[in-house]
Amino acid sequence: MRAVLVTILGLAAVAALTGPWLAPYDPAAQDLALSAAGPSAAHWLGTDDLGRDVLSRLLTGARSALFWPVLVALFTTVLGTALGLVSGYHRGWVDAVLMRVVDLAIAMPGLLVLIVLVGVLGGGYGWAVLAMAVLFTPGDIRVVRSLTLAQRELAYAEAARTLGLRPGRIMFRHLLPNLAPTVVANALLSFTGALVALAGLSFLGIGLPAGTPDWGLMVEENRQLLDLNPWASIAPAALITVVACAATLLGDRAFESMSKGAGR
Amino acid sequence: MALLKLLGRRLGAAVLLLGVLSTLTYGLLLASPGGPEQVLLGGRPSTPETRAAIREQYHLDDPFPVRYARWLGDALQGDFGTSIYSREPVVSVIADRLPVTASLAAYALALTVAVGVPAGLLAAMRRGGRLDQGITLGALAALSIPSFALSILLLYGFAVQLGWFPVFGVGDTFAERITHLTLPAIALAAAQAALVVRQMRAAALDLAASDFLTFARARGLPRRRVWTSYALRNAALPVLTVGGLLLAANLTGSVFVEQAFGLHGLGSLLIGAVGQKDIPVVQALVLLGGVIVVVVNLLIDLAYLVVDPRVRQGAAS
Amino acid sequence: MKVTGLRVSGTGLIVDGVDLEVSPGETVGLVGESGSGKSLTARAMAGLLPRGLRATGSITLDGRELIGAPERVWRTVRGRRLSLLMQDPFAMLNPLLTAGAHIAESSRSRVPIAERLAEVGIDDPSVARRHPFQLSGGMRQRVALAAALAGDPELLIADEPTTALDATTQHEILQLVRRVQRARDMGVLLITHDLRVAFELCDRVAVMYAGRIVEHGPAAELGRAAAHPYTARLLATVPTVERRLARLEGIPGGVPPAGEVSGACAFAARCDQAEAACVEARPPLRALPSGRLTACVTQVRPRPAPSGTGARREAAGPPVLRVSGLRKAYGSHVALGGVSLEVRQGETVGVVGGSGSGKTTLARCVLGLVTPDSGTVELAGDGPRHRLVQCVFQDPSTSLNPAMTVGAALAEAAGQGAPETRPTVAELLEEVGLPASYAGRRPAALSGGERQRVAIARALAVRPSLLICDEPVASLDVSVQAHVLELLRRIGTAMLFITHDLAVVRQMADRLVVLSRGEVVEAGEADAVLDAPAHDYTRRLLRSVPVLTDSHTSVASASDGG
Repeated sequence: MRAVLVTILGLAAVAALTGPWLAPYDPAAQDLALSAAGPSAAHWLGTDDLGRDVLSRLLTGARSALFWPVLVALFTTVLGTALGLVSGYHRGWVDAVLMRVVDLAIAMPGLLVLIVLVGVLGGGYGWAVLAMAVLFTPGDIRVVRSLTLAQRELAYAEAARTLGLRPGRIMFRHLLPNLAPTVVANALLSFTGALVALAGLSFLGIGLPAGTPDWGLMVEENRQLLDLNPWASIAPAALITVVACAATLLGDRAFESMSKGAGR
Repeated sequence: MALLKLLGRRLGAAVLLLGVLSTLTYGLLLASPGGPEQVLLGGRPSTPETRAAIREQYHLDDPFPVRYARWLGDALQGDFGTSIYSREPVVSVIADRLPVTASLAAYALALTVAVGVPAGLLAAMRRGGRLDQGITLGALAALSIPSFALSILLLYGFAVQLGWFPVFGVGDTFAERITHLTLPAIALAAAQAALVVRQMRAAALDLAASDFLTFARARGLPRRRVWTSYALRNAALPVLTVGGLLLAANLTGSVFVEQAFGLHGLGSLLIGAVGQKDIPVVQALVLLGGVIVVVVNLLIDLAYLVVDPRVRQGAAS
Repeated sequence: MKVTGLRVSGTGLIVDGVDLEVSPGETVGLVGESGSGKSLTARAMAGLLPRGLRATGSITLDGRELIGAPERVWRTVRGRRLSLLMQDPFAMLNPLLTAGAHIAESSRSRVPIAERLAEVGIDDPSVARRHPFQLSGGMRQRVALAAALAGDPELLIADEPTTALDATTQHEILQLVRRVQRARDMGVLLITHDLRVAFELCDRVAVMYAGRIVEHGPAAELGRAAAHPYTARLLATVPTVERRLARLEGIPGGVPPAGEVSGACAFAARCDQAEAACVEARPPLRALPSGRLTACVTQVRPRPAPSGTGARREAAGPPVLRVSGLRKAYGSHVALGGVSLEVRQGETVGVVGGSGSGKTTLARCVLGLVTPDSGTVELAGDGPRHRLVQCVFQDPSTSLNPAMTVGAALAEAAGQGAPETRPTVAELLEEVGLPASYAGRRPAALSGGERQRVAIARALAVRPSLLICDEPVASLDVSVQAHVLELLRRIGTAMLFITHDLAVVRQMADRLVVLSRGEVVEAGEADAVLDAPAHDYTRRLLRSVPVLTDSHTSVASASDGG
């Protein structure tokens, strides 16, 4: 099961890295004579209403669909883990202030704010990615902090303090390895969240100019073709779904291994 | 007394949240490309005179806090101004669209509870078996499927291919409405039901392993008593905690689902308003979202107080 | 109730052929260390095995077979015929129901709740309106007992009912169970890991090991002389509060899984009397005179009784720790109300007290993990605090970082000490009696006793002048306890030994400080304090210790406690 999930994500990574070269056609090349054609030997997934090759557009779109979520996941995981560790380990007023901010951020209807911000202010993926990183980090902080609070009371952490080890060493050498599965799970969840949210924004027509080869945008733009060439809309929807599910399942497994490991 | 203190604290947090949200949305007007006059003109050609008139009418020359306070004062009285696009009062625009979204949300909530609770319990009872694995896997998948992708897949499968449900529209009679809203409600409910399934399953497993349930059985309590005052009441607590998450899934999900199914509810109103830079409508909708979040979270807190004596005690100390 | 050939299996065999009988009016003890299968035997007898476990064999109640009986039948039996009292009073009651509701819902008759509460020694009727989280552990266990008795059962199965409680509370609850048993003329099956408790309370005792009963007999007979080597060794490992033993002996090795030894004597691998016959076939329980049964083929050779009393060390050295006027409060709760004490070089000072006495807060103040509100902690010697004082913590399951190998943990600890005295990992492992190959292992691959040894090695790695031991053996089985205690005795570093267990402290301490509610109520030479306690609290603590007399020649005298 795990191998299958890793393979799916690996294939997606390959597509993201080499997509434009793998694409059999220019993703922007129009062929109005072949508008909304079904799958054929020449066009495996058919064409859209402007006669553009769906497969080529999917492969080309893989990069932006996957790269930005990875960036969001890295950012939120690194920042969320560091802040969560420090906040949970040192407690005190920094923790109190940070937690107020986190509570507030978590209570916000995040995606709604995101839609409005990016929709009104424009600015494409850049803004969306930044806003998302800010919106996702508080959740990571909270999870890591609560685990840190629990771990720091355990005898091994007390022993490390008794040994006079520096706080940095205790946090990152002793506590962090024991939180690793959660951190991995967090990263995968952030990745899924960002993938789905970014694709969702494009689906709503927010953030990207019409005609960009983007999975979410393709779902929306080819929605009217469901009876002519359903693949034009379903293939990108299915791709987003498969990648998102694979990442979530893998993250869930990481989390389960944590809870099993905790049972001494 | 202690109760009031807790409620006071929660209300304080709610006011803070709404304050931040309203400042943010009001700031939108200023930060939007072209500046507030351009937005308020709604893209019509402008002369220096009309611009000046706009500045006068909307008090744009006052300092920010004064303008914000005036806007907030109006908003509190239910006056969000007029929609730039339709020239109608924002409140009536929203009132027009509310029924579709409300019935969609209610339908989805009913599906969520009707499917999520029994599926979660079933998975827990068959722990480790085929059925449990299937339900757990399905819930994870439902949790990660974006609602718009699910909408498209449902549309294609059940409306286009099988023809069981209409593709677009909301219908007129109650029965029509049900059929029209079924696919959207499923698309909206999937992620929420998945949350409930996972939480219910975990809660039921915790309970099954708990000493107090074993002790209840060891005393030969009737099955009904064990179920009602032990299992259900204790399982309700963890399930309640995902209430806030459910709400978030519902709020954002409905935007995508309405868009995908071409329903004219608040979600598609928001997308339209965002696209047309109809800022007054956007402001009102975001604040409405914030108010709903706040109210539901308060209700969840109250429910906790009712169910759990420890929380009542905690509120006192 | 009669149990014959009970087997419980999940993925492996756990209980392997247990025969047991409890009649009305008698108290039977089922004794065993963790992993012996005693708790699952109890659960099976109430038809409440956890998921995935299956019972075979026969359990009959008044001749009615209950194994394989539908849940419907079990429900009529539970509560009215038999009831189960469990270990953890904090988890056993429904957090959402009041104490009164627990009793009312299990009651089959119209006895007022106040009367039920009075039966378990609760005279304050307002307790009925309180929720479990508002009650102390002892109160909860009383409420649970009242609830378990509310259906007026003929048999009460009590599964370690006092293990989670304070020593003095433990004693009270056990006395209560005995009183109720006599008043109702009810049968009681007491599951316990503590032989002393079993001897004190029970008419008959069965000793379990690796899923089977190895010895069975009247408590008095069994206490006089064990008929199975395991029982004999187990008795020898129980620390006594009466005198300090010259040597503490554990049992080497660990309990094997029941499924692996079903064709042999389960104890053979750890037995110094083992013969070829022991591993060829499983020895059946054979009858001995005076109603005793043993699963040993030979007669138990008397072991040389540990001779004399252990010599106390003369502590003439200079003080390594001087604590004076230490105060610490958490909100309105005073954890330490002005504690002063001294530990001199080479001596072990025991700190004794129940939960809430402030003994752990004291340790944390000395270690610098907690800042006291007032008072001073002086440690002799120069250098940072962590080179002067180290600690062995209670819980072996969390005392080592699961993500680090033993070697990495020890090397890191050694690195914190002064460079000139820095020991190697191999030296440290040798000091605590572990092979050098253990350096590559992770904590998950160690037993509880081994982990505690590594924790001791880690504490010694910086060559501290004072070692604090905070309940270092409280979570270990007795057969392992003795090994760890003996190791600590041989170390020679000055020790502050914190425990709730007077028998353990008798074995370890040269001097003794008794703490109660954050105050020192008594202090002095350990033997003097324990032989002739001056303070009432110390006397109460001492009374609550179940006693095995020196050569186990008779049952403890406290049999008239009701």
